[in-house]
Amino acid sequence: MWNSSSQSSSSILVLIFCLFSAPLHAALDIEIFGGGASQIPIAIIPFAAEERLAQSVTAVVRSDLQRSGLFRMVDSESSAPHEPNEIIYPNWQMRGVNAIVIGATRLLPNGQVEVRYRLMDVAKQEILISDMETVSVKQLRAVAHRMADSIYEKLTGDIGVFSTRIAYVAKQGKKYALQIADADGFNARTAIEYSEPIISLAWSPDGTKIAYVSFENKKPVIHVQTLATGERRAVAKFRGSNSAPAWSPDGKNIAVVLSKNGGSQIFLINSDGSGLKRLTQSSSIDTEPNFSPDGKSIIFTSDRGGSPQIYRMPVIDSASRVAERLTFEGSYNVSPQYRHDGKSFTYIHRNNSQFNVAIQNLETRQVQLLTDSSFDESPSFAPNGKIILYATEIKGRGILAAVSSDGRTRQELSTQEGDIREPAWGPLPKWRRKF
Amino acid sequence: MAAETERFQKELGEEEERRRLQKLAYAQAAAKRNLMDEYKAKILAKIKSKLVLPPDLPNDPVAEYDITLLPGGEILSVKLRKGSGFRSFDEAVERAIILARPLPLPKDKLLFQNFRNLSVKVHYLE
Repeated sequence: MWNSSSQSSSSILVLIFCLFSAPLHAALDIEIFGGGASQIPIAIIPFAAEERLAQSVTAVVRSDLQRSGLFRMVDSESSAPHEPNEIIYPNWQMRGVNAIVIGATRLLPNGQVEVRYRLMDVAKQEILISDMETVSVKQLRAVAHRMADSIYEKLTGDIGVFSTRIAYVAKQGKKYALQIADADGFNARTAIEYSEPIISLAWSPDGTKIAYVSFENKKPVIHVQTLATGERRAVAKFRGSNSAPAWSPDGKNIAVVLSKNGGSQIFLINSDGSGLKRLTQSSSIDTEPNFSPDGKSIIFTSDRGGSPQIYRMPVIDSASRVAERLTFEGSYNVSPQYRHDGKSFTYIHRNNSQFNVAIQNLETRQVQLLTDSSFDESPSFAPNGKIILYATEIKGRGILAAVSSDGRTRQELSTQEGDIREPAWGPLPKWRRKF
Repeated sequence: MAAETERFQKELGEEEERRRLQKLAYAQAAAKRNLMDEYKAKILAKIKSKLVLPPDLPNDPVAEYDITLLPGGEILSVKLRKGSGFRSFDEAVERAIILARPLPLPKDKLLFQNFRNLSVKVHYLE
């Protein structure tokens, strides 16, 4: 009896040794789920001789990257390298920095500025970007935005939208101004001013024109204005109201909402106002059309089911034109806009007494509420689909705000004066449309 | 009878010794396992703390890296074994691994054998 017991205990002993002495060269498995941080730690060192310029370049790059919500700025402290060989990598690694931006500016005899910069990978100690531009002092902000785009693209693998423009309506006193500004809210200029409201701004896909609704003579009329020349023409001025213009992706057509036959219905016109064609046929209010990126369908708001909801309908084949309801949560969902990839759309959802920005995935039909403010309107996607610009009301005054499409970062762009409404994010500039 | 008792006592003694050794082996193995687990968790935590993932990737991509370590925790090599299909994600993982060095290792040099080769698998989603 003792024997058998001692045998079993020694075999247990052997078994234990087998279990815990791992074979010599087997790899230890480490499985990680998700990241530790959501922001890339980056140091942007003031460029050599930058303090002599009227406009700091690195300050603009820093604020662009910060606004995206994807970067965390690490102070340069005392060290200020301008060349790769001046970087003491272990110091930056210890401070957890992933990448460093270094560079130099030089004022040329002809008054232009030469800007050289590099993006350095702190982990691999190699150059990720090395670029140079010579520009006028006036273009320094634009250079900084391009730089921020390149850095953003290199480190996130996504398209940067810092060189884009936004449009919005600013009410100052009794005037309504359609303004165009850089995506960071700077360089705002007025495209046109009215003493009556302007609403429903829509950028042409090539970014050269804006369609909008103005209330001259107390009647809503759709205008298209060419930004470079300021030239404008009324493209829809039918009996009743003319509202909610939306460009087709090829820029050839504009979907408009007309009440000329009674209730508001969606029609299609050529971008010069000719060739009227009716799209929706209902006895309810159909409005706020928005084209899918492939141009084959529109999403729009309709109260045909008793409450305002979002529907989708093909545009091309008139025979099989049947609207499909997309939103089912809540009794009020309006102002839809497609994401650039057509996989989801953003809209305003009424949540009890609040009006918030929401996003719905078209494949999974999953809905995510992105804001919790009291009154949001006009959500508009950045051309990379990562940020949504919208207007929100604070103490009765409209301001611009932006939320990342995953809802993680939200911020107010408080640079504009007055009461700001109806924002619309412009397309990528032509030179970046290779993406 | 006395011889029988003596033999019985001796067997009892041997048995106790075996049990003592067995307990010791258990304890050592458990200690080693605890130490392995502890350092595995430390390595995981250090890499994860350096990991900044690119936003909004579809589905749940996975990147797999093979790492070879030197005894002090320095990294001898990092090789992508299986890419995720997203370059920005693969690069973010590699960057995190390099920035996590030196990786925390137990003081016991004998245990290093278990840590020489690491297979790191990173899932995009938490």
